[in-house]
Amino acid sequence: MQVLFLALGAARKRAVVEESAAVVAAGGRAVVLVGQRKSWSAETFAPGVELVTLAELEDRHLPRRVERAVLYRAPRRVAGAVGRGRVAPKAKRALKAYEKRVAGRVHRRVFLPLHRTVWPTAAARMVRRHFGTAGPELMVVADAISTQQAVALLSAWRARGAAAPRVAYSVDSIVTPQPAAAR
Amino acid sequence: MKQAASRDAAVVTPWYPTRELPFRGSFVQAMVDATAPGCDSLVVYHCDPWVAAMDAATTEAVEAANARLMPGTAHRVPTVGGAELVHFPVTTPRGQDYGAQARNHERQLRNLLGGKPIDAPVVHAHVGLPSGWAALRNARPDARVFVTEHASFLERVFQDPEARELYDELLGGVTGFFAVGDKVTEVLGRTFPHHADKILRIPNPISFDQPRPEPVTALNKWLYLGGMVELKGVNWLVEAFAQCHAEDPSLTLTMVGEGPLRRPLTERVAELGLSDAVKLPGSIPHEEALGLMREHDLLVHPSRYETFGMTIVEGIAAGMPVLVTRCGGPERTLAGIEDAAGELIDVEENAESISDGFRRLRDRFAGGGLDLERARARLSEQYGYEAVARAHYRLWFPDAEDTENAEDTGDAAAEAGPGDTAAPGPGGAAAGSGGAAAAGSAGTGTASAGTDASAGSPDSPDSP
Repeated sequence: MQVLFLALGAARKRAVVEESAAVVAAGGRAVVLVGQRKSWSAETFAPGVELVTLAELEDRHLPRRVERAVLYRAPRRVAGAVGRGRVAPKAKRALKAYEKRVAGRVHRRVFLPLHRTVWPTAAARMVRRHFGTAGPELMVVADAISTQQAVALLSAWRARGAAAPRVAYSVDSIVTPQPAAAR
Repeated sequence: MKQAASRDAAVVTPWYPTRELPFRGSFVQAMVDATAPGCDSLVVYHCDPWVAAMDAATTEAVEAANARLMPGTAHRVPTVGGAELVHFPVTTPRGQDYGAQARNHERQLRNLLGGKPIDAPVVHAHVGLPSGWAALRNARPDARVFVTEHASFLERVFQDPEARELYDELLGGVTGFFAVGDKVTEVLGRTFPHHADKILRIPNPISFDQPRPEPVTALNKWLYLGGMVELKGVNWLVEAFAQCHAEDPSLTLTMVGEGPLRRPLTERVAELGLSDAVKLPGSIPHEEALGLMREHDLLVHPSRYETFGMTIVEGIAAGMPVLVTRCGGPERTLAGIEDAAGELIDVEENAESISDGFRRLRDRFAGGGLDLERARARLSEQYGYEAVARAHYRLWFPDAEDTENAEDTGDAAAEAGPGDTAAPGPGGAAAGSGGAAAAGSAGTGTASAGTDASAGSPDSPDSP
């Protein structure tokens, strides 16, 4: 079973570490989607568990790759080519200043809002693509902050006609043959 | 004669063991395990507080998102005793006041239920706020609602005016209300004197079904289970152990639990050169803790205060003698069997009281001065699954119980006065002990190996 753990809030680490390990131990694939890697640096995941940030997945979207090429890679190449010998330190400083004052601001203030407006479902597509064509079979919502992302992902997948995975608050609750609304 | 659909019940609780907090709410699980077999159906609604730092707008958006997710995400799965469990998160902003928490639980339980009431004629909630309130407001109009209060931090809860107001309304609205230990009863009685006669007690069940493979023959392997906080006397325990270990190097000590003192204690143990003899493995699941009890020789519980002392009863159930402080609950729990069960010592701010107590206990144990079987049998009558389940049934299904147990004279629980127990064991032993309050605060049981309810509400956003 391919299981996506939404753990963007990093608030229930023990549960995520243990449940992802259980998935892998049972022969499944566990992908833990987090907000920041450093929030999880103290945790030890079972071998085979994949830790990935939302930003890393979003960066795989073509417009994001183009943006990075234009805003960052090209200037770095130019700086690398021009900044040799005695001008190297100056070029390095100039590049650093450019990335901080120009590229960073353009990325945050212009590109990101534009990207989310033009391609609102890009994150959902990238998350799904990470699992291959079938997408995740189960999505575990692992903390409060992740509930919004869960709704966004499900809406996007459904809007595109893609099969939505089963959803749970814990892998342990997927033991009933027919998970139904708890009424 | 049992009538169809006459014995359906629901439990509403903020605490129930999970992978994230495997030790939290094991006493609720034990109560479910004991009572579910006698019900036609029992559904546990585990309203798990998922706390996050959120501003007001995010809190609202997250709650709305969670409400959309719930219908397809909160599943009903089997749990202990044949009961069913519905675990769902109550998204909670960090630092939310107790009154607001209660309303939050009420709202989100309603979201889970799709606006319909809980489909059971009996609803039993654990802790007044948030779950008692949520249960009362989501129960059917004809439902009988009961609440067991376990929280030892009620005084802090009542500092919130809204929480106090809700609690007053809760006490007035429930069919039965139970408190654990004298301290909780006293706080409730003082705060709500007009409801004092409604507050009863009921013990939480403890399993006496798993005796140790071999009886204890020497008090060599010490065990401590509880929070690593000053209130538990763990500093003195380490010093006392060092004194005893100096006399008998074969002694070992396992200190299970989590808390701010774990690291300093680990350092102190190293400083004393006892790293090989003292282990501090952190918190462990309740079942593992019970297993450890069957592998150790002596339970040492030097707490400064306990409402009940569930750990002690569990220790004796596992066949261990106990060395425990007279810190409120334990001396009442062990009333009449103190010498049979082990050694009680006064709460003193020194290590000698513990080490001297150990020497006395060791000598008495060697001389055959304990009677663990008698202690075990006595506690089983009061806190065993069967006794506690019967007490619940009498409250939950009085008509059916009257019919089935026409000759049972111990069914006056719901009419008992303040401080009386709602769970008279055979011979009414629990009522007589005065200590038959239910299973300790959230931080007092084995289940609490990593928590200390006295240090903070287990479901408080501020809890450690």
